[in-house]
Amino acid sequence: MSALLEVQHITKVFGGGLFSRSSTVALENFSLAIASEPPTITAVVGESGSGKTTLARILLGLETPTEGQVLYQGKDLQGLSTAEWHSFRRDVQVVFQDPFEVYNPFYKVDHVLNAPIARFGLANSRPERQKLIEEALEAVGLRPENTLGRRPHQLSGGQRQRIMVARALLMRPRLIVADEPVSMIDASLRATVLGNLRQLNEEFGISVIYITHDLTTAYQISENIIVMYSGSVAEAGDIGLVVKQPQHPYTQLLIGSVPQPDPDRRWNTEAATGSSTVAADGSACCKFVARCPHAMPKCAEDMPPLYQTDPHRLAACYLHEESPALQAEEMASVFVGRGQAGS
Amino acid sequence: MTAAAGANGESAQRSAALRVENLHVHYATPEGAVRAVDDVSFSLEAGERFGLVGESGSGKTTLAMALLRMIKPPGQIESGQVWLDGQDVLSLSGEGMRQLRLAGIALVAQGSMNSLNPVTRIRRQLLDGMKDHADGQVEADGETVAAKMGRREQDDYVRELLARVGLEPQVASMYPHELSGGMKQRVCIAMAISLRPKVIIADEPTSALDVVVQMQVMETLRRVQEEVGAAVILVGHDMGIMAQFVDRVGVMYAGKLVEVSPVREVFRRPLHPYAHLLIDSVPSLEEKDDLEGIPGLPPSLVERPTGCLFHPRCPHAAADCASLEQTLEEVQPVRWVACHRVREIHDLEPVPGGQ
Repeated sequence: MSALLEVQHITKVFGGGLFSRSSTVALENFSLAIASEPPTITAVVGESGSGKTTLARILLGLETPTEGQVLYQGKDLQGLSTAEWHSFRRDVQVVFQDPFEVYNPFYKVDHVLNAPIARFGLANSRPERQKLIEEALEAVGLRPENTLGRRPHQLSGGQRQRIMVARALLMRPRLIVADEPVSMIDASLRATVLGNLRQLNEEFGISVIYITHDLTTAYQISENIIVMYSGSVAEAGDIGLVVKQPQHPYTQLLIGSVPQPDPDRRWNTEAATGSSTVAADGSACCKFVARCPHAMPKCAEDMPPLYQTDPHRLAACYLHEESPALQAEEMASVFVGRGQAGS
Repeated sequence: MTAAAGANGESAQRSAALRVENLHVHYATPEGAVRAVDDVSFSLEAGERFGLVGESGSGKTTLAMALLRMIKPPGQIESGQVWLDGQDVLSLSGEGMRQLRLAGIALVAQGSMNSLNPVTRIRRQLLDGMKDHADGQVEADGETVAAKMGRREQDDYVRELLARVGLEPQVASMYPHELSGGMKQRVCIAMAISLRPKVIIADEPTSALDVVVQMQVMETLRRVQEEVGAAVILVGHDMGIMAQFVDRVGVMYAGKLVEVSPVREVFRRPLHPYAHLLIDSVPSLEEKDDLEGIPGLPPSLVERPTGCLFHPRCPHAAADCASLEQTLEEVQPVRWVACHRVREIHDLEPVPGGQ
């Protein structure tokens, strides 16, 4: 059985054209297969510039990879027929990071909810359409009567983002790519919106790719995590394992920097100041080498493969050289299904 | 003892770096006045770190802006008093207020790294603020302000400011686009401390930054704030950062302060039912919880509920909550809560000598 959506060995390079001096590798040799069965929530976590938004855009077909393929139900996105595109567009939904750019300021916010209903024929009558919209809005904690009929500038960024989540819910897709969906929502409503995503996953069997820089919310809703650093996978696998016993030095830094909601557990300020004695030369090296406290000469010479340190976890770091190495496209094989996750 | 005096803790009024009494800020709308800040009183001691938390629309940013007198129409400070280091802020002239900003009370705004001028070098931007806001003033420790410094003194001072926030001296001659987000935010912190203010207001200073950078920026802010001796008001909704940074927390709901307590107490045993739900909704890396937000929605500030504003969402609401307006009371030493059922809910002893 082929995966719902699969990326194989994708690399995305920006710039480097005729008039630019340098190019940026946003994503390097990344492979991931997203099965529709069992439906899971996979978090993609990394800092700005780690390539996570580029990955989201490639998964959505908004960006073409420089190298590699994106397959929807086994077919290359580039070669889909019109009917297949239509079904791809409905099956794979998105919630973008920025709730300001997605609205046309001349339309009322109803437009973003009406348009997909009309486009995909989700409702047969006006009352039915209204009911669908109101249910979706209430599910994300908005009052329909205070929301519909407004223009985007009359709503806060948080409210606008919740409408975008409601829009994705309307479609009952098989996969939602959520790119920082709650970074602009209030903390008290974050839980509600993430709970909605969880609920969609459990009740409607929708898989979710949850792209975020926030490890805490990722931990709360996901089974598996992919930690990205500078376009490559640093660590991946069962989120419980990765969060509790991180193996890659970057993951350790990341987790040490999370502000814990407990005044007696101080964040780990020493980890952040760690710098390395090994200088990076060229691109074929571990991307983290310049910041890594454990850097070895070897790290600057070659890119570490994914070492399987546990049955359900991979770490791309030479510290774990004794573990068996896996090919990039085998990453998803260590992922856990729902309910299996350790914690 | 009034709520205003008491929220200050035990300390004498004179030592307060900032004292806010019964502050009201209203926004005029076609539907009527929105009470964005409603009878808020609190005070800060010199060097204290105070966190203002609440949902969006709870009035925390409006309160912060009111302290700087930067509320724009249709907003207006209706009534109340703000004392900064013994100076009556609300009675100052426009020019007097302009001089007080940055010199007496400085702001590190949300996304303030985007407020740097893209075509001006960092050195010039640091000095411009100082020249503009401290015309003729001489600082407490005798340092003259930028306008009166010679070129070399200015260079030295810029270097010192940058060093304080952990930036290299060559940053002075750079343009903002040459700096990362974290570095730009550090420049903004350098700017905020350039005239050694008594109070720094930091409105979600790290909301656009990655966790590693966020920690570095917050640690920088903590260090310079301690060195300069400024009090900090940290506005935000990230309870993790609050737990790591502040000494005392003020929880806002619908324009009112509903609980003011030391940070440890708030996290260990929040007393106000809203504060309790707020703390409970904070996810942690410790264990997977059920994802539960706070039930219901924040009230419309135009048609506000009667009595306690939180009663429609409160799990402990009783019949009289809809009629009794709540004010902050000291229910335990240094813990101020606006809920008349709080003693009953938590089985507290009355405070000896309290109200």
